[in-house]
Amino acid sequence: MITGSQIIEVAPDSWVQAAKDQHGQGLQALDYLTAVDRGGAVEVLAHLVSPGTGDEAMLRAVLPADAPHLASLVSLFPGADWHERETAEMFGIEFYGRIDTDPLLLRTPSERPPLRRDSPLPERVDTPWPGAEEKQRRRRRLPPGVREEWVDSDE
Amino acid sequence: MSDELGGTAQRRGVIALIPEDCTSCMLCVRECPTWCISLDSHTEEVTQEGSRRPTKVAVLDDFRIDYGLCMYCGICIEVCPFDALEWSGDFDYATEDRSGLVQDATTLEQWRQT
Repeated sequence: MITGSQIIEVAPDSWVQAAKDQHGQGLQALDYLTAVDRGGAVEVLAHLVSPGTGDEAMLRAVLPADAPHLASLVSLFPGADWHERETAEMFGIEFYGRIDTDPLLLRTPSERPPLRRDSPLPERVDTPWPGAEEKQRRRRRLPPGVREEWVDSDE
Repeated sequence: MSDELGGTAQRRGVIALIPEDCTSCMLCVRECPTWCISLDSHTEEVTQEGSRRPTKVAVLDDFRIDYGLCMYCGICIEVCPFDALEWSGDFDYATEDRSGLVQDATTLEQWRQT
C-alpha cells in the first residue's frame, strides 16, 4: 500500500529516466498509469511493481493544466500502451514518442477531455438534483461538480 | 431471511432507515454520488416545557432510496450525523419493474437491524 510520503516526485523532463531507474532496481512491471486533475495542474501517476518481491513505487509528475504533455513509457513498459491511450483521451494529455495515438474508449476524440474538471457534465445539469431544496433557500444550490456557467449557458 | 441463506457479518445488503433518528438535514441527499436518495419534510412548531418561544422542528414525511441507482458506496451512512442510516443484511428485493426499485421509508424502516 502506497502512502503519500512514498510517492516519488518526478520532473516531467526526467519521467522516462525515473522509470528506467526503477526498472533497473527490479520494478519491471507497470501496474497502472493514470492521471488526476487537481484543478490548475494535472498529475500523472505510474505504479510500478516488482513481480517477484512485491516491492512497489509510485511515480508522480505534475503537469500544467494548459496543454499537458509527457514522454511515453511504452518503449520501457509495453503494458503502458493502453493506459497512455486512455489517459490521453480522458485527460487531454499528449504522450509523445507513441506510434498508436488512436482513442481507446471514445468513438470520436472529444473537444473537452471527459475527466477534466472543466468539462461540462450535461446529464448532471439536466437532471433535477434531489438536494436542491429550493423552497427554503433563497440562493440556488448547485450539485457538487456542476459549475454555475454550465447552467447559465444552458438556459 | 438473510441468515437462512448463510450470510456473514461482513456482507453489505441494503441500506436501512431509522426514521426517528433522521432530522431531515439533507446531508445524505447532497452527498450521494448517484443522486439516488430523496426526502420530503416539513417544519412544525413545537413548544417545549419551560421555553418561552416554540422551536421549529423538521419532520420527515418520506425518504426514498432508488436502488436502481444506488451503488452501495455507503457514503450516506458515513455522513449521517445521527446514525439514522445503517447497513442491513437484506438483499432480496428484486422486482420486475424499475420503478419498484425505489424503496420508501416504510420498506427502509422494515430493513433496520437495530
